[in-house]
Amino acid sequence: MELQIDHLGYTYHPGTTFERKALDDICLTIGSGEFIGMIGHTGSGKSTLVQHMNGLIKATEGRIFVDGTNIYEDGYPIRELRCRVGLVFQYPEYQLFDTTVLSDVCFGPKNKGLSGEEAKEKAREAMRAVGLDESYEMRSPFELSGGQKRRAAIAGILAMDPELLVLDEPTAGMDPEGRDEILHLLKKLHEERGISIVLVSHSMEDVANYVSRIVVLDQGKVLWDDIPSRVFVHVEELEKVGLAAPQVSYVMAKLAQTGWDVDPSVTTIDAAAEQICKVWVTVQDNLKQVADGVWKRN
Amino acid sequence: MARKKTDRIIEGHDLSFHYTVYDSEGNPGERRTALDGVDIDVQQGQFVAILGHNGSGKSTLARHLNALLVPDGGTLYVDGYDTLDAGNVWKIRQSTGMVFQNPDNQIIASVVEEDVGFGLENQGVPTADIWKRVEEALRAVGMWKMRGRSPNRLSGGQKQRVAIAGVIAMHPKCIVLDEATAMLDPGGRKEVIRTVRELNRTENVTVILITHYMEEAVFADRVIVMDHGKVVMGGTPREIFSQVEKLKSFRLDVPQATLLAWKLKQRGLPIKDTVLTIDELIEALNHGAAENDLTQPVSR
Amino acid sequence: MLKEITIGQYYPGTSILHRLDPRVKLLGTLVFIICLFAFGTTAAYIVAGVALACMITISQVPLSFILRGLRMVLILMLVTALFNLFLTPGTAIVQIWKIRITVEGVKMAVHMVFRLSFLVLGSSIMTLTTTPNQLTDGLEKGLGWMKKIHVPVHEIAMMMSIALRFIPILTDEANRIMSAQEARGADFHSGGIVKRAKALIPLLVPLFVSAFRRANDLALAMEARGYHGGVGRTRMKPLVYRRRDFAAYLVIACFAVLMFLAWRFIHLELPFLP
Repeated sequence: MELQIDHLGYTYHPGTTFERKALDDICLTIGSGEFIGMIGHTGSGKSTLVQHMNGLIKATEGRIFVDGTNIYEDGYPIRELRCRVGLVFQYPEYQLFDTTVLSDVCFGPKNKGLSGEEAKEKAREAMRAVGLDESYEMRSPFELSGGQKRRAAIAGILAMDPELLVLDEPTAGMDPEGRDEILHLLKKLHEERGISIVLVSHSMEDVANYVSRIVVLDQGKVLWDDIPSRVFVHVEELEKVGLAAPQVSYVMAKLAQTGWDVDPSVTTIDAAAEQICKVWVTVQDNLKQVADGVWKRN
Repeated sequence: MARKKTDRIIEGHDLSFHYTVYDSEGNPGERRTALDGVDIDVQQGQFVAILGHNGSGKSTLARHLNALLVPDGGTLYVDGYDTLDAGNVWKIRQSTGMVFQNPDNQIIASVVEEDVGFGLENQGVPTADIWKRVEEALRAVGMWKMRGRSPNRLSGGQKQRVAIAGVIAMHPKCIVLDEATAMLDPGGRKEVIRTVRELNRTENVTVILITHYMEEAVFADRVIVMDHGKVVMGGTPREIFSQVEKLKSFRLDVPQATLLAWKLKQRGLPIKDTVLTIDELIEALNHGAAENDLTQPVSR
Repeated sequence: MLKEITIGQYYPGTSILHRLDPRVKLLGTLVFIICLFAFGTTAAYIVAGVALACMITISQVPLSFILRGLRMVLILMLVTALFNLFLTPGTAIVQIWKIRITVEGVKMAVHMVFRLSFLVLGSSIMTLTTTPNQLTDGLEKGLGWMKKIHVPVHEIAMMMSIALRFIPILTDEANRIMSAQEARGADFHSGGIVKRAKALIPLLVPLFVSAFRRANDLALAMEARGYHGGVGRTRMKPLVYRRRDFAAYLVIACFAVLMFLAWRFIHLELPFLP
């Protein structure tokens, strides 16, 4: 599916003393099969924006088109949209409520109107996808570990078969391994199932390694919308809006400043190592040639 | 009640702690080990980082340092007071303050300054002194201007700084931050780390920082790694982060700059020491280039 | 919907009402309410209305803010008014089939509407000019004498102030969980009563779990900062009476006397007014 956000704006409590513009003239197209990172500091409007994507919040200005149809038109099947755009909230484990993991994951498919058996089938499939095997089905969601709870909650969304999966800071508060688990899971879903993914995060390191496009929000506006390497070269501007480029970007920028012929737009560790080594080897070769030259002349 | 004479703020020997898991009917089930033979020694004024994945026992250890939990084996002295002696509890809580993970769940009052004064009220400090110490504490964390605000209107980093102010107003010798940066954004994390480093440097407050973020541990004097309730590694950040693969086996990682340096070293670049920060890496690379007789590494 | 609650919402300001000792305001509100019930005549209500108008002006809180409190009790007010209107026996003015409206009914209805709205407005002025913390402090100090009869005044006040601090946090949380479940296709807005009640389970269970988790965290944080009940505690902001507070007590006394005099000696005969 293609989701097109057209000059979207949202104001909290319009007309009162608490009036606050959360989103301002946002234009954004999320194409089929994309993996997008959305970054911005707390309060930049990212959580508000993602809730527009499945129609939970209705914009005060602008429109949203899904496959060309305006979702604010009368009679648009908004609940169907919520199944097509799966939204995983921040700390999604806090939404678990049922007595067993399986029945909790079934909640979405059942709301969608599937029969008990079909819902269970979908739920089992989703649990497998997030790495929770049959032994977890009958366990209480409240006795799982933090990471497992979060994956169970993500399964609850996956079970609705979304075409676009939007996750609001899915790795918040997790340890390094938990973070990697979740991010790998997203990568797998994207590659194997072709689900489009919007990953909201404030961790640049997370985003840099996985996404193919980055949207930077600041004060409710889109600051950049580009491929990671072109976004992360704005090291100073990113810091100004309370963000930070990945450490690798800093390293490459500083090396370039001190005269190294490296590409400052590299964002992953492996690519950086590759570049630095290449420069190093060229330098060594040059040195050798110079040395050889000197030797031959003598 | 007796206080042991010592220059070590924390002195723990062979600590163990178990907790019982209850089933859904409330019957006691299996006993799980949270701490298993932990030895820990911290000098007054040190900055110690404790690393470990979720469930490694690091938060349990943190709660022992404030006598919120007491060991069921071994001995633990905090500021010379035995935590097993119930009569010492209030003295221990005065000398070791705690900052917890969720900023919303540790602020008690509805106004910033009143929250900072909460601990002092509990201690029975006279009103005039409370005001003086609240002002000092709020200025120390850079939140004096916000003293009249409602905590609900602050950012995560600011809330944690208020929590830190609440602790330092009590004039503790030691602050324990139990994953206090886990729920913050990068800006908020920097804010908090900057604040505690400053306190450590200027006021000689002992800081025990429990974290998932390896970049925060590079500032520590000492790093302790926990796994399965045991202390499995200990040393300076440089010693710890040089062991990239061992850390990975404990489900941890290293700062990106360290990892990049390590990868370069494996590819044969002449990087001698373990690199902890970006500047060190640049320095090491440029130094390497210079040693190879090349001040301008590349002809442009 | 949960955000509409204004009771307990402080409106920041520096008016004299804001600066008064909370004990004065609590007592004042109490006296005002008692007078409303004790002296229920037209003349007395005019006095009360004038007093209320003065207080609203002095408080410097925008009128729209104060009236918002009324909106909450609008339905309650309508129901009470209708009950009184139709069910009070007396001289009928209008009668259609078995439904009759009596003069007494109209009088009662008008009376109830005024009493209720004065009540709500009076207490709103207090809550709007007093921070929840001052309020609980006022209660704790004002009711301190009850400790002698083993009422845990400090603990009750502490619970109240914590509850007040967590209301906005839990409100946000409720909204968030509701949205999260709606994102999973939950429907809170349609269907019959049974269906709606059932739809609340996915909202209430996580909300309770979260409230307990927060309570646990908070207890830990309080303990870590040396909280051990009210004994031996000092106050950062102890309540001290100032000259303006005594003046305010005098004003309250005058008000009560005026109300009494108006009720006792002035008899206004107005159609359809009590």
